[in-house]
Amino acid sequence: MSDTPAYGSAAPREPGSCAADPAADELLRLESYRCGEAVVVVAAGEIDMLTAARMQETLIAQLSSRPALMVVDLEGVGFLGSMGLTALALTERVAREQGVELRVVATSRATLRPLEITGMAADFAVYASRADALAGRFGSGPDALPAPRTH
Amino acid sequence: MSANGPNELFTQLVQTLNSGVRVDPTLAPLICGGLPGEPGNLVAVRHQLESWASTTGLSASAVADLVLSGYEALANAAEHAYPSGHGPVDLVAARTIDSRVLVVVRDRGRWRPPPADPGFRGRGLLMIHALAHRVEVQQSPQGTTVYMEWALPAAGVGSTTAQHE
Repeated sequence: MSDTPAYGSAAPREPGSCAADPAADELLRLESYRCGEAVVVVAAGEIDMLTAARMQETLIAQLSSRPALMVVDLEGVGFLGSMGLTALALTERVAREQGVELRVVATSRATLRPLEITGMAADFAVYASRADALAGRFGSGPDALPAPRTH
Repeated sequence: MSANGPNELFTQLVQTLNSGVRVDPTLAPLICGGLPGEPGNLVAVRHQLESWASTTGLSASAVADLVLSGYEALANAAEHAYPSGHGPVDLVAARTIDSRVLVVVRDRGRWRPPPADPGFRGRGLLMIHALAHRVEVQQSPQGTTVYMEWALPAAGVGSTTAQHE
């Protein structure tokens, strides 16, 4: 982790020399399961340019079975870039069109901060745990977000 | 792709929007030049930026904000500057002697007009503006430079104490 280039090194860096080739599959793990009338998609890892499209495909595919409720659990997500937000926004739109209720579990700063600064936290039903999301129960802790708009 | 050595690139980018800046000699800057703007490269730079930023004295939350901002700037450059492929993207990051941490991202293309949907270019820039303490975006026929800055906490420089939120 400490291969920061030394300032003052004489040789020009080759293009791409700062980069390694991370495995996209390892960067984001996605797992889906059915829970009664609900579908739960659990994401763990990092959601960025490399992985957002795969998450979006998974979410849209899971919507096609028309569950009553879809819970997207982002508790294990340590990085959420704008591409991930775009994927979530698209999923929200498709869910609304298909009459599927969408609930998002976001507990860490890594996911809550991007949702909040873009105003998207107001567009989603954001829950503090998967159990709360499945039960439709908003937490009452200091970080609890206001109840979502009803569509 | 870059004819410049890392030092010239660094000087050029850091001075661009910030003339007279004095880089803290006790912390090696991060210099990534001429990187093809491919998603796999960008994630590697993000991880390097995170490792580097965590040595600057910024709080853990500021490090997270810096990493997200830096990545969004890289993604903008990669996505919007080069409609026909992955052109070169530069990133430099440095701590200054007056307790600021700078991240500068540059591409050498022209940003395409934003799509009708306020998609992730607009959202990425909005995020950068919300996350950084200071932001400047300089566009020219030679490309776009995004300059971002965070102030270190008062006792930040030289402090190696654990960072808690």
